This record gives sequence, structure tokens and C-alpha cells, in this order.
Amino acid sequence: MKLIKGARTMRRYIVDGKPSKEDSEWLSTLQNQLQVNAFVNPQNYQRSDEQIGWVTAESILDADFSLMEKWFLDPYVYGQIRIDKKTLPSNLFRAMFEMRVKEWMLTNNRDRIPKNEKADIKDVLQAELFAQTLPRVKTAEFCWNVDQQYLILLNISDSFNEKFCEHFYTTFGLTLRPQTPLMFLKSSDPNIETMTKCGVSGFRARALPQ
Amino acid sequence: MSELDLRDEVYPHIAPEFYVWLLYQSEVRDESFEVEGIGPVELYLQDRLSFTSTDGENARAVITGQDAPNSAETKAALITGKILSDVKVILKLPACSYMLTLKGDLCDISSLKQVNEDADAEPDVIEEDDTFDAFLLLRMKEYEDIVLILETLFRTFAEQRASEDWHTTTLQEMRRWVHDEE
Repeated sequence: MKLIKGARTMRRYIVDGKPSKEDSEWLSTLQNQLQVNAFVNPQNYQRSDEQIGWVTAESILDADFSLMEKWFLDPYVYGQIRIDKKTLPSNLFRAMFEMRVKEWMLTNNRDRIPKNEKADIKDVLQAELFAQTLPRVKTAEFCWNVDQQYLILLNISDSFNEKFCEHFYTTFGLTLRPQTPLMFLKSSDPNIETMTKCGVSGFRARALPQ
Repeated sequence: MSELDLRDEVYPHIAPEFYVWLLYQSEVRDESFEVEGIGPVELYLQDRLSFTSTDGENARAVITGQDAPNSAETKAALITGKILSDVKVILKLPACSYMLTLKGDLCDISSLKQVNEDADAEPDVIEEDDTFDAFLLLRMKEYEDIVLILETLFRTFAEQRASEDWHTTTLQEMRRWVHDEE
């Protein structure tokens, strides 16, 4: 578990908003939101769609959030996002498709194959191959400090982070803003505007004489 | 949060400028920073610096080796206008030290781990009877300390960078170091 063990690589976000702790049901609401958007293993993949959802920090096979101690330790909500995607090897698919088209023409004693037959062959072949293919599984742990309104995601790939932010918003209705270096300064810091305009210092020139 | 908060924008010059300032602090100033609630923190850049080219070709140069921060290659890269994009840093706190890499425009933290410079020191490892909760709280406390240190460093950098003295003092010292004119 990378959150507690080994070297950690992460991106930090500011969470715009937080659950109201005055509402006695706030934890149940979070639990429900996590469960509704938890990872669901599809019975069968017919297409190459991504499957995305929450799993517990303990195991990428565990999408049961009914026990609070598996995902909440005051003030932290933690877990993993799991993104599965099945893809077919395009060269193998093309070769098998062409072979089936030839077989159809041979069986039906025809020189050409109608468009609808060709589409049917493609659909059947895709379904057969998807059923035999394991998904590519990507996961990353996260830890959300509900009180201080920040979250860390243990992944710094831009595309992965984008998917995480979308799923977080879908789940909790809260926007995540990546922490920029300027956010190390308070919003009232008088140096912010100068910093935005300062540019990069050049070192080609030598220092002025002392 | 105001919609016009300038801090939301990613300005591509800020992180590289901060990384060069960290290099200068590590190699020239050699001072410690007082961090509230933590105490004095020493900063050292380590054996790996990544530069990118500004000519739009996205060319990347990685300088490695024990003396990489003070090497002729690093100084040459700065003189030729290359942009420092990743720096490997050691933060030496009163009780322990951490190693991490700051990466890219967002200063993402990469490969953060505790390091023991004292060979006899007991490593901070997870034991069978330690609970997950205890370790999560410990790791998050460590992380929050690191962020507090980075915040202090960045605030100090911003004060100097935005100051009118930057061009006449700090930048001149940095140029003297880069051109070996100390």
C-alpha cells in the first residue's frame, strides 16, 4: 500500500468545498456516494469502454465501502481509484476478421460479402475476443483531508489525474483544483502579481563587477 | 475563492525559477531555514537534475552523478538558457531527513521517502504489529511537514524574487556561481 509504505509520488489538489460535519448523516452520505460510484466488474465487455470506480485502499478487488474503518480515519477519506480498459490486438483482430470474411464467401459461394454480414462478423468476433481478454488495470491511491480541504493522488500522469478529477466530481459533486506553486502563498500575499510576471532569470550574462 | 485568483494559473516560469533558486541555496548559500513547528531545515540538491530546452523541441537533458548540482554541465545548461524542470532534494530536519524529487510546473512530489544518514539509526519500517491507522496518520503527518517546509521555502523565494534587490544582489551572486567567479 503506497500510502503508508515505500516511496510516494503524488499530486496535490485543493478540494473546493467539504461535507458539512454539522449534518449528523455526513459520513453516511459519503459512504453512500463512494458505494454508488464504486468499481463494478462488468459481466462481459462488449466494447472497449473504460470501467472506472472506487475500491478500498486494502485491495483493488474490494469495492465494499460498508465498513467505515476501511475508508475513513478522521479527518482522512482514503481509497483507490480503479480504471480498467480492454483493448484488442489490432493486427490479430484484422487477420481473424479477414479470415472469417473469406470463410463466409467460401461457405456461401459468393465473390463479395454484403455490408450487414460483414458488420455481424465484426460484432461477433469482437465479443468473442473481448470475452477472452483481460483488462489493463490502472489504480492509484488517494487520501483526502476533509477538514483542510486538500487531497493527494499517488499518480502524476496528466491523463490519469484528469479521469480521477472527473470521477471525484461525479461522486461527491466537488471540484478539485491542482495545487500550483503560487498556492504556497496566501491569497493576500503582496508578491503574487509580481511573481506572475517575473519570467525566467538568464545566466548567459556574467555578474556585474563588485 | 475568487474567480480571479491568480494562484490558480500555472505559470511555466515559476517552478523552474524556484528550482534554480533551490540550487543556489544548496550550492552557494548553504543556510538552514527555520520552519515553524519543525525547527531548522537544511536543504541539499542531490545527484539528479533534469533540464528542458526552451526552443520548443522538448529536448531533455538529465545530469547525474555525485556532484551534479555543482558540475560544469549544470552550469553550462544554465548559461545556454536551459530550464530546470526536475530537482532531487534532501531535506534535513532536526529529527530525520527526507529525499524527494520536485517535478514539473506543479512541483509534484515524487519518490518521497525518509532517509537515514546515520548508518546506525533504526529505519522507520512497518512492523507486523503496527496498525494501518497508526501508519497512515504518521505518513500524512510527514507529508504535511514536507508541504510546510516547501511552503516556507517558496515563500522565502517569492519574497526575494519579487524584491527590487533581486537583480542587483541575488541574481548577481547566482551568476557569479554559474560563471565560476566566486
